[in-house]
Amino acid sequence: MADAKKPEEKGWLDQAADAAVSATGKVVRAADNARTSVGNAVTGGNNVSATDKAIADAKRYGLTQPGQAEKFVEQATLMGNINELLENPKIKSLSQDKKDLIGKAVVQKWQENPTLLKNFNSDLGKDTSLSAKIADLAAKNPSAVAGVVKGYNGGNAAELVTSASVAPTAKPQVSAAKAPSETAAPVAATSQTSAAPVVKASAQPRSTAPTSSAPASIPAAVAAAPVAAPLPAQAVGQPARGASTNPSLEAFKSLANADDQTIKDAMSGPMIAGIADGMADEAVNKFGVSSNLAEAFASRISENPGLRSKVVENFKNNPQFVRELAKSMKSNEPLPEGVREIAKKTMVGVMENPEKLADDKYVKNLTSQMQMGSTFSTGMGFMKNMFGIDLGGKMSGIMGGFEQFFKKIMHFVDQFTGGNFISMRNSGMSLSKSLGAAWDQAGSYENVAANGIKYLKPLSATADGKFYKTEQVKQADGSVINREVANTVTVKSLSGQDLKIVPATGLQAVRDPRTGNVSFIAIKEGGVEKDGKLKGASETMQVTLSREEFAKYNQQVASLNGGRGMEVADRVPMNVAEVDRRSGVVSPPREYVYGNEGRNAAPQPTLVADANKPPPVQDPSMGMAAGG
Amino acid sequence: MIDEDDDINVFEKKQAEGIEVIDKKYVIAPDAPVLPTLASQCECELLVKEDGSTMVLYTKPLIEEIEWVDYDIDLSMLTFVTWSGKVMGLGMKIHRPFRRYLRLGKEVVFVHMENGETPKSLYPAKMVIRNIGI
Repeated sequence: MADAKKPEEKGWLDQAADAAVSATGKVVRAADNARTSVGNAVTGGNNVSATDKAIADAKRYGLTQPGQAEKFVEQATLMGNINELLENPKIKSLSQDKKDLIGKAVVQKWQENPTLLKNFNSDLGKDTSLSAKIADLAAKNPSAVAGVVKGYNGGNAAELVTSASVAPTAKPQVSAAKAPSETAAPVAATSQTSAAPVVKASAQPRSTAPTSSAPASIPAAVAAAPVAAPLPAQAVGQPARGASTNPSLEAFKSLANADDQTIKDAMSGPMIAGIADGMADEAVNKFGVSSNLAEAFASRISENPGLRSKVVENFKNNPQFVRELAKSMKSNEPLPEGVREIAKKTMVGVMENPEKLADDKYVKNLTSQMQMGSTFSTGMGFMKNMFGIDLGGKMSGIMGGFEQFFKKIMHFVDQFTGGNFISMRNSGMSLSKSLGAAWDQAGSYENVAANGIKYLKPLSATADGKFYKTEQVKQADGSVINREVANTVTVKSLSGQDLKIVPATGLQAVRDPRTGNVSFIAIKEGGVEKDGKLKGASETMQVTLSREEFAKYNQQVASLNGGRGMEVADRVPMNVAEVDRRSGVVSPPREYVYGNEGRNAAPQPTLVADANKPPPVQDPSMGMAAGG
Repeated sequence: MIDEDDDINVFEKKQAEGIEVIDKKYVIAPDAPVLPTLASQCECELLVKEDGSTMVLYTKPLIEEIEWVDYDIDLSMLTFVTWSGKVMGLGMKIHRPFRRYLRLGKEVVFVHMENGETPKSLYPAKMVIRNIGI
């Protein structure tokens, strides 16, 4: 890395790293984490993304037309085999000038032939030994590698590398017919450095260097340069995970609608390490998972090449899972409280045992659940995906004629959360209570929203009757721009989170008689047009406030609505009479309390059959084997 | 007049003929169109609302999806029929208190509760009610 070089030999990256070292005393080496990404994210405290660095390098190599460098970087990001090659230590240890040499050659070739990266990525996939050969060649004779680029015409990478490897190192022209592997060029070109390290508050500062992606900037990134110092905003003591710059994650999110082949091509060790980093961020920020656990998970993925390669293979074999995961990571919808807890459990399970991501069966199971969640997303709210994230989008656009079917089912289930019931079970666990709790937590209001959204009437939060106001916002460069901002009121949710909502009336609020908490349908900030018209059901959400907080909010609504606040109705309790399965004796009806109290109910004999037990005595009243 | 030929000792006859006496233990043949009852496979619950809306909750994925449900009031049995024609009993007697409400139902919704906590899937199946009066 930068250590042994003389000052005049150091590239801009190394110089930046040194500055960071002296500034903070802490440097995280992206290369040690086996992550590579284009560019170097942080120099002396400037928050520059790795992608931006890669683009800058690409421009330096000759992609000066508007959008050219961005396009190159975007393409390279999804070339999994190329990014794997860049992980090779021999590539990463190339000196700056050698990387420049190869990088320029690649970029120039790419300008002539935009399919260069794709073809080369494909060649690498077909011949698994090619990657190592290219790395060897680059280490011995990078100038030959640069020369080979011109000879590459797609599909002949193996021949070129072989002939270049036997040719005298100093004279690439020796084998005129077989130019040195052009593959080396893209390889070199795609060398990357780790991007912005994110120093966490945990014991070991760790770079969240995005993996892979921006290929172009060979020189810049590749490994050699130590990652610079932590961003000022992420100094130790502040929340460990913030908005990390993670080009691999951004590239991954773009796979939400990609076809199977694109996904397979994009999967690579660096990409997986980047995804793991993104998942760790989501776990901490969205689900409240312990940052130590999240950090350990991300480290295990990034520092264990064997596990990483297994995960790569598994993701290649399960492109649908990759799509669902990418969709879920793209969503920024706020999570209902109870759903967050349910999803957190799964997240913690994966983080404690990252090998699950390499398990085909587990991933397939997750996929079906995530798909089920997307089927019941927005407008239904009953089952979220396994990460509890609302995948967004109107169901009618996805499921077409099934929407009415599911609405009917949801309405049906909604009935089971209030009223009089008779129940019989074969164990101590009350499944109906758990269902009621899950339904309640997932927002059964959705069913109401789907049918009654037309009654929701937004109110202007200001005396002038306007729904938007103009605010002056100062930009980072000091300029001031005008921005339209929705007029909202701020309420504090049960979790203490401040929520900005557009006040509305027209739909009933529901009070839980046990706690006094009140749930109602609110309109998200920005969910109305300028004239006050609601944009759609997807702009609404369920909000639950404490008794006092709701009283304050309802007063505001009343003051904006001519003295009339929201109507509040008590939730209909679920009264259940339980029938003993053996004797048929009915216990008096009692009100179900939502939660997991079903598990604490009076124990009943567990009647699940055991294969080793003698068969049950036939119950003559049933006419057939009683079973169970 | 009783035909004494009818009073045969089946077990003696079978032994004499060299036929192996079948073990009395109840075993479902692998290719039988009868599946183990739901209550013998996992924790399950039958929930009926007073208007007849019915739900069956269970904690283990079913071997096959249920196509329709047969409620036999006379035999106090609830039988599920899968899409391939296999039958699976609930495994619990439908006691008399259920009769008043369950006979009003037209369909049963099956809800798979993973680990008993998280609803994972749900779908409806039509219900046929049989009441001959025997």
